[in-house]
Amino acid sequence: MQEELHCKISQFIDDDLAVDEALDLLQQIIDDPGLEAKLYRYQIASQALKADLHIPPDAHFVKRVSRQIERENIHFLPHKLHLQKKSKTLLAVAASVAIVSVIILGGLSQTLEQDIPALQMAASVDTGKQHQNDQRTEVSAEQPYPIDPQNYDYLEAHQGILYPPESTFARTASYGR
Amino acid sequence: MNDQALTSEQIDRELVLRVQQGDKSAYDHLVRKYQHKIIQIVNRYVKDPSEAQDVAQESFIKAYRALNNFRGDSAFYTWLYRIAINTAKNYLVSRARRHSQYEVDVQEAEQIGNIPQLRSLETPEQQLFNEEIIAAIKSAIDKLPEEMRMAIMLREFEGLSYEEIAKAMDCPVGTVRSRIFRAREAIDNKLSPLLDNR
Repeated sequence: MQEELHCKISQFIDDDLAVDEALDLLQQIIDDPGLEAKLYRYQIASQALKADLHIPPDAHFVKRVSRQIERENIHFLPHKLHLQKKSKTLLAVAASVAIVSVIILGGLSQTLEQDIPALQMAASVDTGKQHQNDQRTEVSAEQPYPIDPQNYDYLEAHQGILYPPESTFARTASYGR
Repeated sequence: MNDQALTSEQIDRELVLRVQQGDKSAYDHLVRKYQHKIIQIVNRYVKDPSEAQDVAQESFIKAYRALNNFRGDSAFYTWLYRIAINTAKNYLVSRARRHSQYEVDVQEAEQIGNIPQLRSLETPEQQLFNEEIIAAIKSAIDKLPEEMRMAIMLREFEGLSYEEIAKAMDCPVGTVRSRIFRAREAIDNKLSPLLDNR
């Protein structure tokens, strides 16, 4: 068990431990001064090999820094607040988007509600007009526009087209163009 | 960037987040992880070992005070490294003002190859102690079986990842992990009595 922990310390020095394992090991090092001493010696050997000369930190270096930090009147709450502010901002944006969506959708449905009868009316008007046109066509087909027989003579004389008395007004109107 | 560096950054990010949420003990982990490296960096500028420890400590405190502004745009270690260098430079400048002489050339200190000068500022006792440490480590490495020596040297001197060492030595990653651990244990067996008797 202890050897396994020492092996993990060796891995920790080489950054070979996964994050969770490393954090777990660091917690165990706090609880066990023997493990802390082991880490300290491994680090000395590692640094001495790299630099050929290593002045090891005072054995109580961590404790000295820790004690001084305990006295520091620094609070990191603003960071936490910053995170809360950030989440609040996100919530506010999300709420705004939701409200705008509701307004737009509400307006759209209202417009649709208003427009549907209008469209229906327009459609019915169109249908009515079409119906009327159809009726007119039928009427005009059944009852051609009455043209003075004298005009037939005139048109025939100028275009060489025979206009039977049943010809529609449209045919007559195109003559001028 | 390799996977190992990414994992290390993720661990740091998690610890920083915990500190930012008020867990001061999480900062101890960061100090524990980087104390050796930061002291080593500061040593390049501040050649007196005991002063270097104080400056390194100040660097960690400054980093803690500024941690609320750390947004993780760069790796925590890179950020801490910059703070340590600036703290060391400022220390040299303020000391020069106090003593009316600029004892250490900052530009010279920025070059890594000034280690012999470091030795000259150590007390004889410190110098002897450091030499004993280096001798113990070298002796332990010399006595290692070939495959262990190669694994630890590829890791420490060449900075290769476990995967790269596995390829170079044509063996599984698990074997590399085990060989490096065994090598460290062998070194530690030599180192431990020295440090315990101090």
